[in-house]
Amino acid sequence: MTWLVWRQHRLQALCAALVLAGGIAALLSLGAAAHGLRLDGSASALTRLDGLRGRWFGLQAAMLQLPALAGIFLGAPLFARDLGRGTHRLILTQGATRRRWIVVSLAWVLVPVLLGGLLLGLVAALSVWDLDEDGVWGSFESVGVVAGGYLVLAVALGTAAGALIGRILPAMVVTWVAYGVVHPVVIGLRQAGYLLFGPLRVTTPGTFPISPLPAHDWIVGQTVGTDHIDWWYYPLDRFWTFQAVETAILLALTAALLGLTVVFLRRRLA
Amino acid sequence: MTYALEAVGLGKRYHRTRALDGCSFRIEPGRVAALIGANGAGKSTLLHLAAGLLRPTEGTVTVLGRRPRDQAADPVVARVGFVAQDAPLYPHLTVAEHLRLGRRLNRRWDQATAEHRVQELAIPLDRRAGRLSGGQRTQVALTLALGKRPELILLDEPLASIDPLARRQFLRELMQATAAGGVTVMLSSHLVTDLERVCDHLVLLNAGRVQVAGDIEDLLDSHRLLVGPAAAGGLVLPGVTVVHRSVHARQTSLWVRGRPGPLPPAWQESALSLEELVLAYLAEPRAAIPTAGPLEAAS
Repeated sequence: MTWLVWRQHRLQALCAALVLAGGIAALLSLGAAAHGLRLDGSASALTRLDGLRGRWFGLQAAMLQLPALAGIFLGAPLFARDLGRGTHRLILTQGATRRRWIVVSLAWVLVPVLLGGLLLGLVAALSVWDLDEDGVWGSFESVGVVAGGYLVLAVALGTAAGALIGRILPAMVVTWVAYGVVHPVVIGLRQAGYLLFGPLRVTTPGTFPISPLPAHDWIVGQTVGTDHIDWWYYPLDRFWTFQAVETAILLALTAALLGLTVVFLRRRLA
Repeated sequence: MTYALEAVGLGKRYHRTRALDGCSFRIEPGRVAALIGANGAGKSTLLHLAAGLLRPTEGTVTVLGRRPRDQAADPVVARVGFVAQDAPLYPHLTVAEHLRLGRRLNRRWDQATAEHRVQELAIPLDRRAGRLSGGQRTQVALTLALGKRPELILLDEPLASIDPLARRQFLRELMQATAAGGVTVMLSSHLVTDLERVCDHLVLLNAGRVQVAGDIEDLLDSHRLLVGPAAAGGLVLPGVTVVHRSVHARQTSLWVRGRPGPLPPAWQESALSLEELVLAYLAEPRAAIPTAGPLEAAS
């Protein structure tokens, strides 16, 4: 079964590996350049750092497309390909049990996707660290562990759609649309989480706005009083808390979708 | 006696539609059974139930004496070969890779015979399945099923994708491959003429129900066509059941089960071909051979 899954996904694996390698190379070169300029610290270096930020926004925009693409090209066809062609009847009568077919297929696609996503997210976090004071906050979804979470969620969405519909093209379209619905919902939850936890406040004397906060705290607002300034901010450790919470939500949704996938497949074979 | 295939009150419902309803029949080991029925009569459902791809909603099906979906460590489906309709294969995999798939997925697998069979049929091992002809595809799918060294082999419309000229040859090869080990074969078709030559057992499905099941020789032996004058359309004969009656302007034809005694003058009795027998029953969906009838006892 493992051999068959590999044989059927050789091309996708190659494409995914190329995308991953390309992404990591781009991120590392960006990170190295930013680090150098930050160490330099001169005015011209800081101007060039601004230019690097533009490069990062472009890269980030591309990375944000990855989950939907993974869902469409890895998730949706995973079972829909067999169901559409009837080849599941071949392998299930050639000695593979239903459980083996489902578990091996899911594992060999989801585990590499999750690991690849985590790797990419952590490399991204490392690379943009020197790029911007609140760089990691501004690109919450592309850095850290949530990057892996969004990827597996989209793939699980694809497998559920494929198992339900049983034909590749409609399953791809449904995956695309469904991810477009689920994604903003999770973002909404995240923003609700920000409000729920509320920013912290720190007060500085005087009215000259110089931030007293470390570089990676996220300043969300300031109110200027007569002789002091109130700063509203999220500290860096909140970033990792929010990352962990959001990843947990994504993984729970993923687990639910995988459960649905199994239910849909068993219903077809009952 | 352990039957190769036995259905008792077998039924399958999908939501509200009934694909199969109260099907009962038995196939003895070593038989070659034809599963005949119109499109949508439930042939695929029946074969999928026997192959363990579906679960019955009513009744039971046993293959080689066991339930296809039992959770035993040595599942009985390992001894059942199955070729689905249109012989699905992976278009991007070569013939050799399909054999490799069979070898990897099955506990018992006869690689040498499988390879030999493909080579004997002059199918190139390195050709992708997507580039094979319909007949070659069916042959590769059949080779995969035979590679399991099955005791029962189920073929769903195997002739549909084969050139009519090559059908007879396919059946001859199938018989050669299965004759040696006393393998039981069931193959479905909507055309009885396709299978007449090779089958010795018939299961006739009509709208999800078994209308006729039994040994073909016995069936032909126990059915007669009686032709007489049109005026005698209401003729009643002791000892026979009229399956189908057609009254034309000039003559009456009666397809009957049972051996009539001496006929009135102007009546003629003749034997039926298998096709005529099947058509007579298909014309009368409510006519069926009683399950516990003399045929069952005789076989």
